[in-house]
Amino acid sequence: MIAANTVLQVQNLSKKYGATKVLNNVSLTINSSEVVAVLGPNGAGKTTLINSLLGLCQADFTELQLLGHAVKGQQRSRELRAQIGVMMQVGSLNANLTVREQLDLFTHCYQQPQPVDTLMEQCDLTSVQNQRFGSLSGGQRQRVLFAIAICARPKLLFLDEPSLGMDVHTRHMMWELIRQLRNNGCGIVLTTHYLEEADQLADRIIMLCKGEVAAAHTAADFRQQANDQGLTLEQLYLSSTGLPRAALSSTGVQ
Amino acid sequence: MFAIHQAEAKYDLLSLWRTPGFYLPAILFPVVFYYFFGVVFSFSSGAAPQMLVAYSCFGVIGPALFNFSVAVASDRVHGWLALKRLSPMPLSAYMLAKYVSSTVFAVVILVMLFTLAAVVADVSLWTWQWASLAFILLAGTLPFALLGLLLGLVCSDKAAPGVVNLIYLPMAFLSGLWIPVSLLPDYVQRIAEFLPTYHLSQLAFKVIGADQGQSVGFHLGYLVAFSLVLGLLIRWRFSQLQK
Repeated sequence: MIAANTVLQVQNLSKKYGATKVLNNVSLTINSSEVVAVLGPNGAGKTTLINSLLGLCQADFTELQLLGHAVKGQQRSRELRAQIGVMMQVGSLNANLTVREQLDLFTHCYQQPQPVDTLMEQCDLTSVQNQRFGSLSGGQRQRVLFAIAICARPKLLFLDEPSLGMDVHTRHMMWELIRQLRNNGCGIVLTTHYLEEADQLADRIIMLCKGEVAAAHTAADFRQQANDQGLTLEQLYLSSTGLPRAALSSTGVQ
Repeated sequence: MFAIHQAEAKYDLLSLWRTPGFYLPAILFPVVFYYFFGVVFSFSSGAAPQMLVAYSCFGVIGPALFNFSVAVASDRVHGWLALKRLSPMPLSAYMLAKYVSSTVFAVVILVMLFTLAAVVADVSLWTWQWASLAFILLAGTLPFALLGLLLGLVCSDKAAPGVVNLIYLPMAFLSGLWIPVSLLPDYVQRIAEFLPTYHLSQLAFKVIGADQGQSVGFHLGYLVAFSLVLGLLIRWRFSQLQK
């Protein structure tokens, strides 16, 4: 039995690539109007976690509920996909289409999408609307991918390192949009390497290490714990995700 | 639902139109080859219609093979295909769009070749022959679209163009699309019977009475079986990619 406001619940999610266990019994619950940041070093399993939840790769789990629908295997119904926004870490679009054309194409997939002009305004893309995707900078491309992810006002949003390559101004603009989405009821899974981003946005923080949940806190607890131990957030993160002792001492962590 | 298919087809075509590296060789190769070998160097009055059929066949296969293989490989490697699969867009919209745009370019190639043949090479066919040729050749691109799709699902985006050329050009030569198959050595003629290009071209040659004399059912059966096997391989490859 899951709570009415739960938009995602997964129990005992495991994933292997050959003999290598990439995720091991990960359980996770996301509620509406909540941002959950998933942190972890490279190779911790963050992207695999998202890909498994989205059905992009085969994974084992005892239970998976997405927006109230029990999901089995890798199939996600069209109705479900229409309510889920995704911004992938390795995401590219057709290099020959302009920003406006990309958004027009994707908004055609949904019943009630946001108008293209509104999306471009929200994501600061109006000035580059007639530029082809292939000629955009890394940060501008990220903004287009973000605009596509939110184009249908999703109820569940997956953001896999969304601010990679974004300048400070753009990152803050995106953070504001994420807050607005959360305030409108969207449940958001955010993976990031930026602790500042997690600190700014997350209601809860989950730390993955070697495919397992190494720690899970509310963001307030995470900050409190750092304060209590006299550590910065970065130092607490490093100790939680099992950085070798020698390396920890250089950061001041005992 | 129709709106998604329409939008996807429109933008796939637009994207190809903005890629001269795709459409210029695809259109110009068969047209220039036909002009030289079918018109300029045509040594007998009977060669021009046969050359027309051979180069039309060669021409329509190119867009189907390349648009599927190279584009699908690129979309897959760069994550665009995954992003589309995560959206409510049905996979059929993506596939159908690619098929529509390949067909549009195939129609352009056929129109240019037919016009060249009728106007410059004095090829004179009955209306039903022109129509039958166009129908057979356009419908016959399906197995090659499937072959392209399979290659796109197997090859990296960088390897796909080279691999396709390695398959497409020898296959065209061995099937008699450049030199009539009857002029090729016996063992090559035997190899030809295992190639889909041979069977498609033979169906087209039948329209002008210049085929090797095998039955329509034999050629059609081969192409259907070839498509079914490819369909199964594509399905298997899709499931592999999702693991």
